[in-house]
Amino acid sequence: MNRRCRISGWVLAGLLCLLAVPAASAADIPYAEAAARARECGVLSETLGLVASGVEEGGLARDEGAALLMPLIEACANRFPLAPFEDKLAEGLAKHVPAPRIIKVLEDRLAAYRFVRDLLAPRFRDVDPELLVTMAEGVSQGTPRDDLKRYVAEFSSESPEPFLTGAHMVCLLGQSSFDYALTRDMLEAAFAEGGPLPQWRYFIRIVLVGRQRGLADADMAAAARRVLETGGTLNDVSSRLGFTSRSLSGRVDSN
Amino acid sequence: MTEERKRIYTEGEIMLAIRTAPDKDVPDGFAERVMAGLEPRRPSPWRRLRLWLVRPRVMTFRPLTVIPAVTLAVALLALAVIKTDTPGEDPGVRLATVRFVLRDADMHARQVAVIGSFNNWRAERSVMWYNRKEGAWVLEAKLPPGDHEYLFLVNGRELVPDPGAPMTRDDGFGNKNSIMFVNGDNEQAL
Repeated sequence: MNRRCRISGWVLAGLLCLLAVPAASAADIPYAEAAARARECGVLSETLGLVASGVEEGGLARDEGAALLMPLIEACANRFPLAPFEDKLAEGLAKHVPAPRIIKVLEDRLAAYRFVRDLLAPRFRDVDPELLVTMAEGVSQGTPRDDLKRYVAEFSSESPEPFLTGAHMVCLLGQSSFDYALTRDMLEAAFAEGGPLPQWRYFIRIVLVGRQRGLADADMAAAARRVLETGGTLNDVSSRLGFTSRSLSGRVDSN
Repeated sequence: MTEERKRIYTEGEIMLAIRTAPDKDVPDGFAERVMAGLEPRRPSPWRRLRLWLVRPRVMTFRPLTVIPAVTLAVALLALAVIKTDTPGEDPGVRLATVRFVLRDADMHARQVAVIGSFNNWRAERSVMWYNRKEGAWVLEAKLPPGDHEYLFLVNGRELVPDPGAPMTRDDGFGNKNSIMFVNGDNEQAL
């Protein structure tokens, strides 16, 4: 008993060491080294320049500069596309967000990418980077993970391009609290006809305008389903719902 | 017999043979053929061009003909320069023209810019101009298809979401970004 406890203790200590080493290396890496590693990974010189400016002008401590680059280095190590991470870092710095908050957001984004990679990897030999970004950004921006799990489980054997369009729909509708059961019904009809055309990713726009006009999500989904069953377009849906095309697409102002 | 003597003897023999040889008439056309061989060679095209350029010439022209020709040449040159200076667009991506508008009837703001995912959140890249007729800050931009996040940056510090944006999204930093949907058909939203 005593010997067993001692062995367990050593195993536990070993595990703690393994966990502690990466954490220490991430926290203690000097800024110059982090910048060099990020550059080697292909992080844009513009992004590195933003962090460097922050450090040189005193807005960021050197260790904050290094810590800001660490999620990008980790994304690189995981072979995730760097652009979404660079964009979020640039956004945080432009908005003068404190570094720890930016780091937290970047780490959450890393977690979203890992989730999607793990979700797709068993079903696709080579995960399409666009699909990975679409779904991971969706998760980062509030799409329920369960919606994506269900979508992948049911439709991942479909052709790549319609599957990507469907993923866009699930993500955008999920962020707008559109019931996945309704999305699923629409997608089932779409895939029965060869899958949704790329324009269907903008179905969210009809939903947003329809809601402003008091339409129920279920009614809009039903109209879309009927159109998808015949391989129709978004214009057909808006006609069914009584929208003029101008009310949806003719607007040229941002407001 | 030494070599020197042998050489002198041979030369003597040759001279004697020439002196004693019978006289013969010059063949017909011999002189012309020799003179033709002595004519100067035709200069190279490059040399001829150089000679043409450096040799003074008298040119005559009618102003009525020359003025339109020079005007056309200048116009073509200017067009070529403008075309060279315009950055080329990626032919694979269809950009759509979108118009950002922030209403400000009394022009309370001193400066407004659009910052977003399409300009790397850099205000200096998308500064808006004030349209007095519309009473609004305006900017036109060309964006690739997709959903783009953006905000208005007022007076260099205040972040303002677009009041008319169809959708907003939590930016994770405690603010809301406006969303613009751009498709590839020069339409903003659908």
